[in-house]
Amino acid sequence: MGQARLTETKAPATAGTILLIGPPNVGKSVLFTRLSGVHAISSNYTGTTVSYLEGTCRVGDKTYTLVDVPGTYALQATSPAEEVAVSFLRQGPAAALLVLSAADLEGSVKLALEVMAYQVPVVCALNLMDVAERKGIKVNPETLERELGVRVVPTVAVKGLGLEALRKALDAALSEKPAVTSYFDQGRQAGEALWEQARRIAEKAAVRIQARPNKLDRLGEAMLRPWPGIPLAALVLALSLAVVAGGGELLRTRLLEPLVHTVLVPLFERAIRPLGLHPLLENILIGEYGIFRVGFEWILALVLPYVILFQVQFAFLEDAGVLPRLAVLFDGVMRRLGVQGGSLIQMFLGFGCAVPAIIATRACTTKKERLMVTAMICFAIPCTSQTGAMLSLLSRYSPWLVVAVAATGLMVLILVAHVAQKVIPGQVEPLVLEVPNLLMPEPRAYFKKLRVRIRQFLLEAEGPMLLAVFLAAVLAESGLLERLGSLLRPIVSDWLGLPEGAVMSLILGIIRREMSVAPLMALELSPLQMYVGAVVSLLYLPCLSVFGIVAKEFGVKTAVAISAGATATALFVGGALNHILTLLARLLA
Amino acid sequence: MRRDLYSAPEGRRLRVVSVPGLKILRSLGIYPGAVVVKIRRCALGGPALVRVATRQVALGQDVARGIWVREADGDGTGPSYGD
Repeated sequence: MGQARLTETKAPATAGTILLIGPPNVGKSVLFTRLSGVHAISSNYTGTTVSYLEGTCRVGDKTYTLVDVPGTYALQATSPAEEVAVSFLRQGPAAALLVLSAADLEGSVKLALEVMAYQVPVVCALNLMDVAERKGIKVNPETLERELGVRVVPTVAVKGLGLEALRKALDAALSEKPAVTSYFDQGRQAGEALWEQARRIAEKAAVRIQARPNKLDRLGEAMLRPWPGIPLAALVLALSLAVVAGGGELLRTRLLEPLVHTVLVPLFERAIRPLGLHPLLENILIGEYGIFRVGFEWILALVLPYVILFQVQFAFLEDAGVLPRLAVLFDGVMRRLGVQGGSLIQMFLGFGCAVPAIIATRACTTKKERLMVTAMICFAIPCTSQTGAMLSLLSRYSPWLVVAVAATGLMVLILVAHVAQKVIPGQVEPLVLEVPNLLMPEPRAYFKKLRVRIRQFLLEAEGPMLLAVFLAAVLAESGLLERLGSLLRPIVSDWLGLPEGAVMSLILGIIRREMSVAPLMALELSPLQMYVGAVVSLLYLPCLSVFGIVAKEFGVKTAVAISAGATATALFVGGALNHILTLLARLLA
Repeated sequence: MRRDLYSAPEGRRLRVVSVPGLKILRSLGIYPGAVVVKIRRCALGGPALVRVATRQVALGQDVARGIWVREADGDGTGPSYGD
């Protein structure tokens, strides 16, 4: 993999590549946005799931390709991100632009020493000096420059300060041969020696001053304690649910559904109907569950607004440094489930839509952890559109029904975690996480990230979603769905105790998750039936796009296993609840 | 006195004696001989929070229990600006 080629892009030929390297949480992406402007291409490194951003950057009178290398603490090739960083360096870039954190000088300098071993021209941007001073550390850039032997330019990336000086320093560094550093001849030294070296340099370049934490620093510290951390976390989650569910509903009902029903679908109807196709084919294209009807309704009106809004708030929480705090706060709980605090972030993402959440499990350190988190998301985490439908349906009966369904879902989640931990071979590594500072995200870098995320979601999820729409159309319009329905009638009526009309709704849930809830509204169910129906719809089969993404990431076998497991669990739990509660009611009456 | 990082006293400078084979620890600056400051242990079986130089790192219980440390106060070679 070390020899992997840089992904070709359509960008104009450039004078070479400048690698932007730095530890995580250093403001590297902000600097990237400032240096490369708005246009960036997100690519996957060949043969890996690590993605990086690429843009162009003018230095002197030449244009270079600027690569935002994934943030790494070291270049020991111990993680996919580090491997990618190392192989970028081995490809002989024109220069490396290192972003150092003044607030974490020792760690940054240590990374710098590792990069300098690759004998490429290096320029350092010394960022986060304001944060460092609040923490009580004052760094002297001149001393650092002298000690490192490369140019060091102080920057405040969020305000765009120091960028011109940085370009000048890069220009100068690019026109001279890289200085052979005195630390190494070739290759890398053992970690300890490097750390010692870094500490000596950091001690010379930094002095201790009076720390002056601001409000955000204090809030960031408070969020790590159970009090007030847990109430604050609950507040954050409630707010994010309100933004996504409320905002998504608004977008869907006021903007996108009218657009789909009055403009897009009629447009395709007018185009397809006159062709006089075979009725079956015509129905598959534009019938009640036709590709051009459901495709727009589902992807454009039902999935997109929620996914986009979810990404809006998720990226904000991520950039602000809130998510790592949630991971720390709930690590103890997650640990008991057999995973670690970091998995909470992916599960949280699953409340938006399971598709990006499952893509995000690529960040897990072991295969077992990835599979466990994926299984938990598929089994028991409802997506936003389902949550919305469920809330509006259940709250008509009683808020307690909402609580009961949520508690049942939580119990199943715990059960799934325990079973998955036993069944899936391998191990899960414990939480090891740097806690970044809490900060206000920089708008330009934030929007750029958001754009890249949403585009990536569309690219990655498009295939599975279109496939799902196609399968749904064929199943429904060919009558297979109804036949399946009549086969399932004994299960639905006798075992689950639901009226026959519920069959269709549950089957439709495969196609559109929230559709498994909506038709239940028309059935005049008893509270018990409602509870059972909601539990089954919460737990069973992930929708077809989720099946698609699981198949893509883990293989069809895993996708089938997870889907079959979820369905069996849903039917078992639903039926058991039905019979136990009916029995109890009879005994009490 | 040697003890594991998870049960080590809070607010102390500790010198790392041995670490489990988790490579990211070294990348974050936690290796035998390094000095860390234990900030505290999070509630509910949560991670141990430590400061490595000026970096705040959360170490899950299972990894913190595998890191052996001894008190570093007074042995004179710890970082001077980071704590």
